[in-house]
Amino acid sequence: MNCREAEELFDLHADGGLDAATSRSLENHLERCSSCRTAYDAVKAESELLRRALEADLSSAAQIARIEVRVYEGIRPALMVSIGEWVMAVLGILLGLLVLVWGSFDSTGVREAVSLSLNPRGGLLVAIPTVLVAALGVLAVIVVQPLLLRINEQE
Amino acid sequence: MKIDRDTVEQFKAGDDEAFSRIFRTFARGLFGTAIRILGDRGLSEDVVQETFVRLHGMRNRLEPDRPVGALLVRITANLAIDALRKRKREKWEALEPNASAEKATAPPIDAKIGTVDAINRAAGDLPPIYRAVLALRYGQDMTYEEIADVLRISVPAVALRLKRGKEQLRAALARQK
Repeated sequence: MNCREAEELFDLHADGGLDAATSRSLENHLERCSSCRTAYDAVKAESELLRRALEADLSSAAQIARIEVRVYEGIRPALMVSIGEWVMAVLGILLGLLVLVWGSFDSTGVREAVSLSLNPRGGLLVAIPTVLVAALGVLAVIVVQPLLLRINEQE
Repeated sequence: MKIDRDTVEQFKAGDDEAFSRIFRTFARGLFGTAIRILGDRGLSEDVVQETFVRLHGMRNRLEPDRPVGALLVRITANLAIDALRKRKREKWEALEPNASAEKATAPPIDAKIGTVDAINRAAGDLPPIYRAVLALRYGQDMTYEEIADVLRISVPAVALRLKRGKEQLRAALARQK
């Protein structure tokens, strides 16, 4: 390796971008060539200056505090969506159960309700609203959740 | 700056205080990276905010043994680069390094001209493609491979941009002398 070739590699070597074999070759040259060593040391010192400068904090306390508030504002809608999902799922199930129980305890009495539910027509009377309400609950979770997410993204 | 495994586990379990600790540890550094890439305080705030919102969103998938800091830098850098690409007034493609560009020949920056303020000012005036590699290499100590991955360019392209960026920085500081 000659001085010209070595000089081309100073930046890469100082920044840790050289492969092991080329690094060794350059180091061998630097051991033999004092002018290249001096020039390389300047490049190496420059890298340290750049590191110190470009790591320096450019923010203010107020700015970081503002970002923190905004982070929590950004997270809250996601939490609300997940809480909303649970509330709707539970409501759907509760409503389904309510219709089921209501169908069993109407004025005709339990026994009649049971026999009614065993009867194909009576069973349908109880089953249809139950299935409908349960389906509404599931629909609410499937449809409303992406809707809430979309609104959140638009905001 | 490091966050221990316990803090990550607590964060994954939904501990708000652990999330706050992670924010306080990394927010300043990430803001520095964003502003050095974007050169815009408002946009940088948006990027840092979005970084932590995304981290919160992926908390269940975090691996406690993998450094959270590296992940955050990656998200911030990606968001900042994307924001830069979207900006109409700074066309990223138009600023690709030109192989035939005239080579600056100023000597390496020394401590006399290379104060923290002077370097940051001069770096802020560089084209975004150079600002980005300088911020990631020196500000976040990322390897060439990591920078290549974030910027979606080749490793030799990273080396070239870093070299050109330093040459322009040297020239700018030499002019200020």
